[in-house]
Amino acid sequence: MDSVFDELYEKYHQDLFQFLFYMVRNREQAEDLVQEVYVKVLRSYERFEGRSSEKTWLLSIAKHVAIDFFRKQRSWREKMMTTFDWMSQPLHDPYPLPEEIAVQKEEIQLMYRCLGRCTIDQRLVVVLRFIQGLSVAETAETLGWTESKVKTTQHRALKRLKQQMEEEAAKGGWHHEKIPME
Amino acid sequence: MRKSQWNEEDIRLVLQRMPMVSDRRSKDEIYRQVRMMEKNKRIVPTLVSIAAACLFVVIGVSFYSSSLSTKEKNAEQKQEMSIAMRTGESAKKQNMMMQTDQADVISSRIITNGEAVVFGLPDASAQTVIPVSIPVSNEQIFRDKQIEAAKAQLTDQWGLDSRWFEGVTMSVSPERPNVWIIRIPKTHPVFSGGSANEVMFLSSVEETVRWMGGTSVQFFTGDQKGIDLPNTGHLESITIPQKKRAYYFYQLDDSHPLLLAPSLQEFATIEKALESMQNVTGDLFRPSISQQVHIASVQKQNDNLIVQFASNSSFADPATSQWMLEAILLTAKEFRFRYVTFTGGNVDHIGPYRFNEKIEVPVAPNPVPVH
Repeated sequence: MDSVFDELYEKYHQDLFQFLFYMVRNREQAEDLVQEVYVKVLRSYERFEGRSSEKTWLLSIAKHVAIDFFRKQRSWREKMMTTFDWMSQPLHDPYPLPEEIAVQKEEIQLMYRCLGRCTIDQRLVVVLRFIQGLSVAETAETLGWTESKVKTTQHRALKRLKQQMEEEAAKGGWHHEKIPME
Repeated sequence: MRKSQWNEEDIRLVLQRMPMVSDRRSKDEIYRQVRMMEKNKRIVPTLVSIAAACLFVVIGVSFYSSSLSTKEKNAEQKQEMSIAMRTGESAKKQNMMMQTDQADVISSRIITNGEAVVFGLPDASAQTVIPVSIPVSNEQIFRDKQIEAAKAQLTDQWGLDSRWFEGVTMSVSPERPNVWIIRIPKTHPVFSGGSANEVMFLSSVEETVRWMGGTSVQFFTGDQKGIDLPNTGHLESITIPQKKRAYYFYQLDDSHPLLLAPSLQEFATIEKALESMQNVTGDLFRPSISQQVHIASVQKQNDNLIVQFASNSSFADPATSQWMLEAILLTAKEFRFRYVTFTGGNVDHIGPYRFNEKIEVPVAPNPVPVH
């Protein structure tokens, strides 16, 4: 086995997989994409100059792979279903909830579904900041953005998620009630 | 129902409690997949295509209804030869050339004459594509039954994944006999199966068409030209590269039969290929030439390859020794040899293969027994 792969896998595989999983929200797709990341990383590892941390460098490659995936998917959808209005459709996932999510409280399940309603930029920031636990500076480095753009996108993402959670609860599709503190 | 109220801090807290989701595959498995993708990345740009899918009947019918004419001459010639060589057997048996599962005979892993349909199918772990062949008779009505009977065995007994051929039809272009037309239904799982599955599907198409003698493939989705794969992109046609590979042993587990599988990489020379057949490592393949076997020399006489075994070679296990020779015969075929002559080794034959006599390279690998 390639020693570079071995080392990167041991140190970062969970982070990479977790990032891709919450971006594409599908286990099998995440498995495919994480392999794609390794293929790209192994080809370019010698060119890694250490200007950023190894982890943010890997995540930045994973980001490109994820965006590429969405681009191809969008292109394909546009070709195949030009009249289909995706955003007007009900909050619906084509795949069943992954086991790890399905066993969680309803608010976790709903958040998982609401993530799919964020824009890709918003999801990138939310996943990196709150699920991966990166700082604003690390997120900016990973995405190649300014810190200011990270903060703005984060703010919009949280606002959208809040709106989605409340809308879904109001529709009655979710039985959890968050009772305000008296 | 009371209206739910959320603030940003609540949202952050839920996000931070999102569960860890882990890759269920082992490190070794992922590494193998990565290596496979690296290899196929080099293939896809040159256009790979394979079509196929479980529709063995449709495939078989399409193939035989439209393409047999292109292969018929070769098949007939080989058949005639086989009849001449095997005078003691019934014509029907010669035609089928099913050496498998006969009492006291080791099941052959090659078809040496007759007609066959060959499919490249992904193995159960989707790491490699293995060509399998279904010997068929001349008569259409029997062909259909034979292919259907073989299809039933592939997944359960052979551990191969045939679902990607579901609903796919393959036929030869009426104008250009080397061009294969592959039609895929819009609902085919390859459109939603992820990039690794796309690679497997295309690799299966490539392997299938290569064995059938095709040099390029044209894709159709329904009646529309081309296929739009979410990860690979738009493909209208692909060329089928000729390859020079080695054949290894592949076995899913003890409950499945040992098959002869082509190497993932190509080799510049037959010597290098034979060397790798003895030294291949990893979990996917096993060496097809035992360490107890020593090849003293390899000589080329026009289209005849002469493989001389050293006198200290051991051929203790009859089955693996026979399959070793069959793997060498298939490898020789990849390098465009028509015959192989085995010599040395202090033996005069192994299984049905007599030493010091020219043996014609096989028609196809891994025959599926049709009962």
